[in-house]
Amino acid sequence: MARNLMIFLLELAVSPEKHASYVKNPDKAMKQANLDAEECAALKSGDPEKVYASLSGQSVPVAVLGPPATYSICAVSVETHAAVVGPPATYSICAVPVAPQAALVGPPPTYSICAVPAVPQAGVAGQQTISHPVRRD
Amino acid sequence: MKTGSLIIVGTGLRTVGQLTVESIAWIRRADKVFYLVSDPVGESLILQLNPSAESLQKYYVHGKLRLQTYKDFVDRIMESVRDGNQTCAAFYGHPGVFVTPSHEAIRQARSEGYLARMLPGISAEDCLFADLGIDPATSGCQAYEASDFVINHRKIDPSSSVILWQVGFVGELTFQQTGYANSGLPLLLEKLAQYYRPDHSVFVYEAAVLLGCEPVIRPFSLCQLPSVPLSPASTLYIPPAQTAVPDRIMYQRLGLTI
Repeated sequence: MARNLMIFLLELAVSPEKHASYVKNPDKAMKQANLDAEECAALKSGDPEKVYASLSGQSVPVAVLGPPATYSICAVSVETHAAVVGPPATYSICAVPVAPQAALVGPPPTYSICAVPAVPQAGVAGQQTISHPVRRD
Repeated sequence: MKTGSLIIVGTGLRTVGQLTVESIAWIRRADKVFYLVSDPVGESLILQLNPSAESLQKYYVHGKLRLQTYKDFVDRIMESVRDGNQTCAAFYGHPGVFVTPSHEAIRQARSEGYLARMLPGISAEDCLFADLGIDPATSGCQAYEASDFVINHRKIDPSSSVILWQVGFVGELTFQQTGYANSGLPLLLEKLAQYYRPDHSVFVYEAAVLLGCEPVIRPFSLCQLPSVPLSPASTLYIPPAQTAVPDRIMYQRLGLTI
């Protein structure tokens, strides 16, 4: 088991300084953490199976199956969410302009609708060239 | 107020980098910690932060109803709270997003007079927006759990982005140690065919859980979905298929011009 790799990752999880060092120069940070060549290769591979294998010593990690689900539908009976039923409304919009309270001013918005109808997002189309590890699960 | 208390935290999808400072603090501070995480680093980290930590993974049993497993989680967590412990439960991702037992534990704790609170974490949806470069404000965004979408009369607005969670085990209510048959997938496709052309481009997405690893992003046509490898962590992202239809009356009433 790659003990140094686990210790290295645990340190990065709780130390912004060490994480910053890794982001700035991964090779230097891994060398300072005394990772061996196999550990460095696994971490630099970007392949989750190799990282898991290096951490656990297992060639086919169970984790490849993904995390256990923490949500299930209830197929028997669905109760209406109490918060949705709620009490009758106790607030209504006021047509008369009200001076905003300081607490309600909030941060400036970072998004505005476009009055011209938007074309559907190209969005992820541009990411199709990214190389991603194919999971064999 | 009784002496026991409950704090629910999220570890993010990728523990190394996404575990928040306040979550670390609460895990350290707790008398008793329970956890369910998706990677070995997360597990080791929680055990290092608090040696009292106890995994909830043992309640997953092959063939057991997941709802029963979640009830067992809540029972164990509440047992600690009732013993007077400041109890912390850590779940991967955001502890309130697609996590049935976290909400139930908080509901039970509060109903019995204990202090109970949830802290946000970085969810798979947060990662999806970042990795796929999508702003939900642009086209709107609908999100459904895939099984819920199939068995209920949910409606899709094809001018909006759509996210379907848990597409790797549609209609499956039990835990399967060795993977899921996903027998409900054809029904999911049947419902989606009411809204989209077979050649509409969609994406299977899985957030990265380890440092240095890329997310899984698989582009394909909707009709190819049955042949795409899916895991319990797979999410289906469906980009908008058409433009939004402007409501001219509302434009006028707001003084906007098209």
